[in-house]
Amino acid sequence: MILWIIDKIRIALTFSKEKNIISNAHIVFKIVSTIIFFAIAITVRGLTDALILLSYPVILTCLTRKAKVLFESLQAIILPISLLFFFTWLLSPEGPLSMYAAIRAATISLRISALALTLLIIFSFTNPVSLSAFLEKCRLPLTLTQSIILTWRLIPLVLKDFLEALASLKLRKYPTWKTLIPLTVVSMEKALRTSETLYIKGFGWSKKRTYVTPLGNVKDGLIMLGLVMLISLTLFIL
Amino acid sequence: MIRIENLWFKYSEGRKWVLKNINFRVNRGEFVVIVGPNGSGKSTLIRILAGLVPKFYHGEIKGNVIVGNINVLRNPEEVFKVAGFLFEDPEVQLVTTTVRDEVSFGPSNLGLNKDEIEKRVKWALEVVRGKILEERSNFELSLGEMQKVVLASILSLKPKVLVLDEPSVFLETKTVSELYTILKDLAVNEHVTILAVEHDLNKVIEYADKLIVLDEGEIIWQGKPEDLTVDMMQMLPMPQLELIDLVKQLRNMNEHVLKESIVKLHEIVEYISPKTMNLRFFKEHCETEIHNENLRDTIVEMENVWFKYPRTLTYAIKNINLKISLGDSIGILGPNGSGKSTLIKMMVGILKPTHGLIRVLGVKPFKSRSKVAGKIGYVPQNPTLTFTSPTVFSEVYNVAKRLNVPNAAESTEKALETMGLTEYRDYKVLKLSYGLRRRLSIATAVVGKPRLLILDEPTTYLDYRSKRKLIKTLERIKKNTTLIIASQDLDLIVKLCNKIALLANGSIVAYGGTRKLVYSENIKDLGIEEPLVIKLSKKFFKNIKYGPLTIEEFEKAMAK
Repeated sequence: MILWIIDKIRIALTFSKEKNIISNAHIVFKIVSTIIFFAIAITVRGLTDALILLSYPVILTCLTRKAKVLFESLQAIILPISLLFFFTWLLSPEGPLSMYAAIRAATISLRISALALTLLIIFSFTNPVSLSAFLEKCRLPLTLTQSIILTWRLIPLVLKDFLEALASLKLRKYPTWKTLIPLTVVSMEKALRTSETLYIKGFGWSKKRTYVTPLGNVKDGLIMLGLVMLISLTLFIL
Repeated sequence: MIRIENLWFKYSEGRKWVLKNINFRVNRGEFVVIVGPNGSGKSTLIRILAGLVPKFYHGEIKGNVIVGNINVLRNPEEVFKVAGFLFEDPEVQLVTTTVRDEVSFGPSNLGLNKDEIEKRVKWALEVVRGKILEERSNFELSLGEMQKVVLASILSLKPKVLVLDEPSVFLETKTVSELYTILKDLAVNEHVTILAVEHDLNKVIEYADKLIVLDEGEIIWQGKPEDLTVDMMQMLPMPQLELIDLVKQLRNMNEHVLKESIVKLHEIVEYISPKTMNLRFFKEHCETEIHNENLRDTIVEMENVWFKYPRTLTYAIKNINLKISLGDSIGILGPNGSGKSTLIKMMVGILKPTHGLIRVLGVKPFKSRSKVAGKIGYVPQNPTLTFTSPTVFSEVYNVAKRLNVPNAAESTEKALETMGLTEYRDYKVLKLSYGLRRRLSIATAVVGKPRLLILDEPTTYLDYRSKRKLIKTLERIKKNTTLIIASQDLDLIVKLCNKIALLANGSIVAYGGTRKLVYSENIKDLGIEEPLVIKLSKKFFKNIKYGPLTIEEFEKAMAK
């Protein structure tokens, strides 16, 4: 089970270079629309509202023209969301037999699902270099912005190593937690190599870098923003 | 361009000097190759040149290191302006997510203007013949493509010196030749100074202007490759050539041959090899191989297996149908990106097939791995991923205990002895060289006497000598275990495997007895290096269906 879930998380966090409205959208609009969506998600209370909220990642998927993206993201979150639903329902103050408890558990789970799916879908189609360039324009330190790119790049690699270590150790009848030992060692070795690479490519030599990656398209960014506004309007009217 | 004078270095945790009184010079536009066995200090030397010592690797350092006009020991952070460095593993040298971003990363750090960066990106990708990769994501690249992108990302810094640490480790022969041709062109046309470290002299000798032989931290020979004679080579503790073994076996190692340059060995071997061969011997071999098929239990079964990696457009594995019988030794052979490791990972249950069915020892490995635990021994490409204990002995002993092996301590000692690790039993696992780590990982895989042993690229990082040791060990192991090896090293596969599954673009293009397949298929066209005896046999005897696989067989087959 753990192998399956890690594999799904790895898949969901893998960057895709396909061209679509989300990948083309201007990074500022992506960030703003995500923040607005988060704000709406916090205010949502009822089950109908949560379902409307859930329509946003579905629409985003339509914009990517790849239904598989939604499916892969859903697989990555299904287990934690199911656990969230189960425990919220089970530990409800009204008791598990109450209808209200089930509705509340469903509402919370759907809200979190909408947030997680939205993040994963946007994450998959965002070039971290453009995000880094934008953050640097906002005066964030260079080391922090580069860390974002590296995290984006290395998460799938670390998860790949985890799967391989887990399989090797399971065949040697070790418990799952022991995987952390070789994983830590290999990740540290990789981190050292990566820092050497950054060093020999002159990273940090000058405080100012030149970015050639465009920040994105305003028109596509406006579409994303418009969609969020539409959803918030719908929720407001209802 | 490079000047090293009286260089001494020892790591802070070590007692021995890793580099002892190193002195050499490399001129502008020269292509210099440093060779030496595993652990001779080659990589440490490269890291000093890159300015990574003592910033990343602490220790005591003495001497003078000048690259371009920069004193490396005084201003290590300035080195990147004149010298570019390429390490062995391309995957960890990609620090962004797209090819374009990767190649522009270095010039961006210099703060150059956008037009200049664009120009450099285009130029660098053209030089490495990687223009078509420009719009790709780093996650989609094969190892060969990754290596090209890393090289382009270094070239975009317009280095005057290019230093490479075993760049061919993960690449198949065709890509290695392509890479070295690009580097040679850079040296000749752009006057870039190239300093490459290699453990396999075969791969690089034709490109080198100068050779430096390193052993136990000392330069024991330097000069032009033409000046290195066979007898000198035999005396030097350096990676040997298959050619020399062949000459020895042909018993023609006379005075005349000993004095010849190693560059001329190919011509010599062709000259001294008899031109007739007793092929009946091999025909009988082939018939026995075919006769023995289908008589044993099936241990691995694959039916219409397809696999596609997430967020990619094409299938990595396409419609594989394969049956492996108990007692077989199977080599899964193919170039980079052909799907070998993917296939292996599906067999051990790391990946689940997108379509189709896999059964290993009667169970689906992705679903029921616990049922095959202890029955399958698996050694991944990176052996460190299997280690959980501090010392060599405890590593093997703990696995033996976990697998309920009777007399765990005794079995551990035996496994260590089989793998030639007895003298390292109290060593710390992380202090071992890559070759020793590989052997330790195999020891943990075989201590429980598995029915099936699966190895993924077992010869990566190993020099000729270490590889021969590994082959001898695996020859012993395969007597009691079914063996599956995924590799692009045909030399390893012909010595160990009775069958080959030849993979290209995710499909099995040929499957059958090793001898028959090697002589009937054009493996060379896939970019895989043929061992010398096969190359020579095919050259001497056109269109033969079977022939020798090893030097010993070659010698036997020659009609006296």
